[in-house]
Amino acid sequence: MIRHKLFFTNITKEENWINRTIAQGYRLEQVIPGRYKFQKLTDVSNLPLVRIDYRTFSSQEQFTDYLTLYEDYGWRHIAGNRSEGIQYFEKTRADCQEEIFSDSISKASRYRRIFNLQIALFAVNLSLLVIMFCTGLFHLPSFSNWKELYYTPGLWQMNGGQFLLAFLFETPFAIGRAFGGLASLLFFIIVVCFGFFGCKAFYHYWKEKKL
Amino acid sequence: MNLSSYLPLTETTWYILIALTEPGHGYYIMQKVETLSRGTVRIAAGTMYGAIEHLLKQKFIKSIKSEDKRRKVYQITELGTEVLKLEAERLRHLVQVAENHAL
Repeated sequence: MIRHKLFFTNITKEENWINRTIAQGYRLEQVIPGRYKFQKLTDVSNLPLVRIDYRTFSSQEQFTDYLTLYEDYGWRHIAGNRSEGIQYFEKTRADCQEEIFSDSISKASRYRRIFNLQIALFAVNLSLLVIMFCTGLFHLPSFSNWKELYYTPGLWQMNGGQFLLAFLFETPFAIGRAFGGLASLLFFIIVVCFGFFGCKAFYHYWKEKKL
Repeated sequence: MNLSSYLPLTETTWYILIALTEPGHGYYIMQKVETLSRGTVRIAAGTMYGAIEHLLKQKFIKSIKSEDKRRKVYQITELGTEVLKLEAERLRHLVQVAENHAL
């Protein structure tokens, strides 16, 4: 069975959703961002438990050491690679602990690591954005002449439904023009996303630290 | 370097450092700590990995050569031993104060 679901930054929510699905008699088999592959279980007496960590590694050796540590503890690695960061584990032994974190600070640190990456990406790309802005790539209009972004002839003379349709149709292009092209607009959106998800991750970190 | 700024050590750190007076890998540390603490301190996998990383950064432990290709082995450093000695002294003083007050 394949389920599609998007979780933005909230790891606890994702864990709970996965385990609720498991409780219906499944096992998590594979994960690609947004796509969860479950396997129907014939024997539902020992339902597995899934826990998620976030950690990146600079070498394969370090990653192997990390995975082996979890394996020693009784956690089987289901999905995740050393650069992307989200690691999915499944409890294999009855005697192994139910959690991969035994205190709230180390548990909250997952979010801290996500935040660190997002904010670094945000900062680097923001400086790129500033450089782009300084070279005059953007044609950001002032409040008075924003209408200049709309090239449709006779747009402002149209009425009612016709105007609305033409206006809405051209708005994405107009925004694209303001940013000097669709590519740079996309880049701007991506940078904003880094900032947004970074803040969200920090919020989760701060909240979980206190628990 | 003023090592007393590292005190007091958390219970987890105290136990991990003592466990690493003999070289060992992550899971070994967990088992040793559980024994030393009489089952009260059970460090989970993710917490353990983070604690080891933190102690490596503080240079209280170091990674030593291991024949096991899949597991890194750690041991306490001289600095770590110094910190342990200071903490032990602090704890002895606390116990002394308790005994002086019939506790």
